[in-house]
Amino acid sequence: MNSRVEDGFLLTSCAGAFDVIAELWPHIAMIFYRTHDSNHGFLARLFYATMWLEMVGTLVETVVMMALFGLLWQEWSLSLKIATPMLHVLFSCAQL
Amino acid sequence: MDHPRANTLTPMVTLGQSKVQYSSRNSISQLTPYTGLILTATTIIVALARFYLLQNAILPRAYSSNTLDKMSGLQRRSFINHHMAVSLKIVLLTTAIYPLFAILTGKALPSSPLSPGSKVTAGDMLIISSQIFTAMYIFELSFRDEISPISCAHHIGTIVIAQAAVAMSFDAKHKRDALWEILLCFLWGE
Repeated sequence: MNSRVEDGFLLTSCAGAFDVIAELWPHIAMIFYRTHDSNHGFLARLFYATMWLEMVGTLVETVVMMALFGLLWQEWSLSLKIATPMLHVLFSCAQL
Repeated sequence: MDHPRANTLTPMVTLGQSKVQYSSRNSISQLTPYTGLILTATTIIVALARFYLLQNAILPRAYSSNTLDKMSGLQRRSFINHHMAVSLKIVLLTTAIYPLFAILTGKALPSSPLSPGSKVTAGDMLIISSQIFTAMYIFELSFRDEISPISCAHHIGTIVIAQAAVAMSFDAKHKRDALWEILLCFLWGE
């Protein structure tokens, strides 16, 4: 249903949504890191949970984005076919 | 108005007219040409909320003065930034997730009303969310005392791509060129 013009914007919005979720947990962890700085057991569990949330989030993100790439690949112009994987690799490097 | 560009540059004229005409224009939202205005308003709200709400009203009441005084200036700035980021991300998640998934799953078009009878469309909501998203990272980039090169590059790349995607969605003719432009900007930012 959607035209190709919208696809680029929707893909970016989707990646943005995952970015928002991925960045949310470390911010919450850092707030508790400052306010509960003497409760080491709690902080250890909190950062452990943050690590797991990030890992599961990245896994889901990769699966969803790859599925979307696969679904839309045939409709893309050559420049999109080159630019999108490059941007994805660059952002994966930035996340590591 | 006979000029062919006039039609694409003044979409507000079609407000209140039939939805068919609007959706045939193939753009995400009628608000797309006004993203500069939306970004300005969002940035002003974020700046005022940081100073008058967060720093002077909410944080002193939410945390003991002991907790706040213990922090260095640098730590307090990033503490404020963490609160700002969490609040804006919660706003983004609550406003953007529904229209985004409605469009991705094919239940709505960007031109569909957000709720039955609403003047606000799903596309409008996504465009406004993209501007809140940009304002959030602009705030973080400008406000923090120290920011790692990686997260600096990530934020710059993200907002450049977000805004380029908005621009590309508006003018299909420039799609191809715009992509190379983003790539260049992004590599430059890295």
